[in-house]
Amino acid sequence: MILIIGGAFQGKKEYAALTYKVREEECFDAVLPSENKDSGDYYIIDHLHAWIRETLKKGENPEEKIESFLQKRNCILICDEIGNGIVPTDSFEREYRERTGRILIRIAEEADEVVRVFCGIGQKIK
Amino acid sequence: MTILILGGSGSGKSKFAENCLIEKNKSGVCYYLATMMSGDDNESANRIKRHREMRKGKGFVTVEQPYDIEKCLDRTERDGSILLEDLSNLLANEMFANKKNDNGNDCIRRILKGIKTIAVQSENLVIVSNNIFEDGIEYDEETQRYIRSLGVLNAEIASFSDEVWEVVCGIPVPVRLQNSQTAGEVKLQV
Repeated sequence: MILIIGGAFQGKKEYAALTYKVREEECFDAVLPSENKDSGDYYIIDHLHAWIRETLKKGENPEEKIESFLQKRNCILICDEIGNGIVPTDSFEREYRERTGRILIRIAEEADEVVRVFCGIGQKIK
Repeated sequence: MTILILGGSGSGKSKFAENCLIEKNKSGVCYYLATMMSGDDNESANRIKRHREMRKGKGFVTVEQPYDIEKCLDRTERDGSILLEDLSNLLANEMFANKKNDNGNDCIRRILKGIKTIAVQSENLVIVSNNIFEDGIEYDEETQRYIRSLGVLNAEIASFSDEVWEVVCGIPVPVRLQNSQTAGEVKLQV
């Protein structure tokens, strides 16, 4: 499993496509592929932060869902870095930031590779 | 030795900082210099609780000092190692709670002086700070001043630190290690 992180619009998805030769049809946008949709062996899940946000909004537990997903799948997860700013005044926004950070730590522990993309340049940090 | 550790929210910077200090410490006491003022809300109480749990069993002695940071030295041994957690809280406290009627630059100077004093009078000093500079939002004047002040502090402290690290997704990434200069290291104007 590969985790790609970085700020918005830094070329994370392009980096993934170029480096790991993933095709557009293998790309999921802010959703986890469901059990039966499972066809290829490699996916990109783009905008993971948006999926986390939606999951929290629905009152569901993203940590649990991603944990079982990580055990089963071989994939590339792409997530925006969202924790590098002023602490938001809104409590949901604060929780979203904090939990996204913790989820990323958990994913990074399991990942074979972690790449941080900045200005379109990927820096392999694990 | 002075080490600066940066990271965003939920990046795992505290855990790395604790382990870093324990590793550098030889035979002195490890102090946890806590700057957070325990408010009456649940959230800050929970945060403090989470950090206490994380430190449990690591042998830290907690010293609370929300501002005028060098005053912690009255309660620490000279051969001890100190973990300052964290700079962004300390700056907020100095700017908004420690009413000395001065401007942002005086806060910066006061904090720098305090940190340099602690660095000289302890064996190791590990400073945790925040990366708050990358959300692209233009805030009100006061917040902008706060962000700028933290930027200046981070750069100033980095300039005399032996090591500077950024923690990303729980992974420590070296920004500058001992005796190496990075290209284009700049001094910000206070």
